[in-house]
Amino acid sequence: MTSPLLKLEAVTKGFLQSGRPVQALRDISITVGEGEFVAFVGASGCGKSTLLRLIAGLEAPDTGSVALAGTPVTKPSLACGMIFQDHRLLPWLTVAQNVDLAMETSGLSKTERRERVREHLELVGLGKFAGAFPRQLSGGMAQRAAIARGLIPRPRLLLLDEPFSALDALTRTRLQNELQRIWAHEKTAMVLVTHDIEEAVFLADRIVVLAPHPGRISAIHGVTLPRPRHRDDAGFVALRSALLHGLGGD
Amino acid sequence: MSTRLRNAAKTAALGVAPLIVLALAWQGAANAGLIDSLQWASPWLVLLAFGMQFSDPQFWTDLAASLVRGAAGTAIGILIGTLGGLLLGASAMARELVLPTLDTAKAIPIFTWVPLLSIWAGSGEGGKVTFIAIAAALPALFSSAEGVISVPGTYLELTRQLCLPRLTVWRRAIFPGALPGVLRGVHLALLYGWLATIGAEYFFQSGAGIGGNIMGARELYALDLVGADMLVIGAIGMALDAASRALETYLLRWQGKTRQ
Repeated sequence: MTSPLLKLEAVTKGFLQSGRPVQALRDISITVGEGEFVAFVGASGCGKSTLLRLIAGLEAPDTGSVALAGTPVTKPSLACGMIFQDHRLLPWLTVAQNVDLAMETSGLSKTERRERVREHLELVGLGKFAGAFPRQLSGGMAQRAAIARGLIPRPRLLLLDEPFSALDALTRTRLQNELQRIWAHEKTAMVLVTHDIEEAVFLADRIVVLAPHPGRISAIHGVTLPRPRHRDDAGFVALRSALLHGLGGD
Repeated sequence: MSTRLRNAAKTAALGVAPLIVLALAWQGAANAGLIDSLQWASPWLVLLAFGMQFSDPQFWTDLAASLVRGAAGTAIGILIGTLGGLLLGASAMARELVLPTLDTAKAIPIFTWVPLLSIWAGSGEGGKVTFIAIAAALPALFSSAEGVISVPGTYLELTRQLCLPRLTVWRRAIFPGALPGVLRGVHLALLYGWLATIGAEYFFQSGAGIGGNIMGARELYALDLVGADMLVIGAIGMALDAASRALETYLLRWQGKTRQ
């Protein structure tokens, strides 16, 4: 394997919470390879979202380092896209304008941009909704639009911060299937943060289990189940229950 | 569609009904000699006074003078107020620096400015337009500042994540997000500007103007003319209100408050 796409080395991050310092992440070291899908799972309070914000360059670690393709991350870059828990579409822009916003600094021509917006809306199944305003979309459709916006600058790494946790179970399952398809199609490396173990087992090549207070890595599991995966396979069910037990659930 | 139209007609009819009843009762009382029509010009006399005013070139000169003056002062006020408000909303330091001063200024009733302005800017057009501009600027300033402050931080984080240049952040995120506040400010500024136009003409009594026209009619004890002028001033206020409501509905259609 060549040098890793993402490399975190001994990353530590603390916050002040009502005046008292709280350690959110302690000694996180991990690498993510080109095109790999890594999921971080853990209960709330284990610093999952903070970890993504550090990788995205929205915040800086207290100690340790984050490097993307060998370059230290000091600020956000388009090489690293992000899907937030809320879809975060701007309500005054149409779906197409929202997606197009991510190409503002791309230097592409108007026609190229329009073509790429069309292509990406097709990819996420929103071809017919280019002119709709976000309020006219369901939660699942809005999150699809956010995925299109995240992918359109062709990032080498896409971060997903509990992207489906606000959706109903049926929509969530459907979007997980679609994300798997998109990942296979785009070959973009993805880092998913979730508290849904099944989601992690379904999507990831590797699952990193985080323990809370302070957030630290407690286990890493490789997922070797063949793709496309089925949620009722014996191997799938076994891995899911093993992880669940490890996390203290039953 | 036709049900909606019928409902709208019904609402309008209900709203107008008390006015018609009041006018009819008033007219009846005047006809019966129950009220002194010199003190209380009857609706019919006011209606006749419209005819007199509309055929009087002085009335049109006065109305035009008021509209031009009001438009100039309000436009200056909206421009300065909105730009200042956007700046104030965007910078916490600017707010800490000038908000206490502005809050003090806001607490001073607007007519308190008249004596100072008449000395600084004269009681001619300068004083009047400045007075109107102050009246329009304050609501525009506070509303647009609130508009900027109300833009969710999560949207700004998104613009950071997408590496958007500063100008695009303003054009795509801050300004559209602040637009409901800005338009609310413009709406208030139009109404306050018109109020201040008439006020200015009452207090700085020089030059043509519909406010001066009313004062002139009062001197002549022509209360029918006073009534006609008041209705014209009210109609202009209502038109401004309706126009800015229409502008808000159009520019904020992404909010989808009106269903197609």
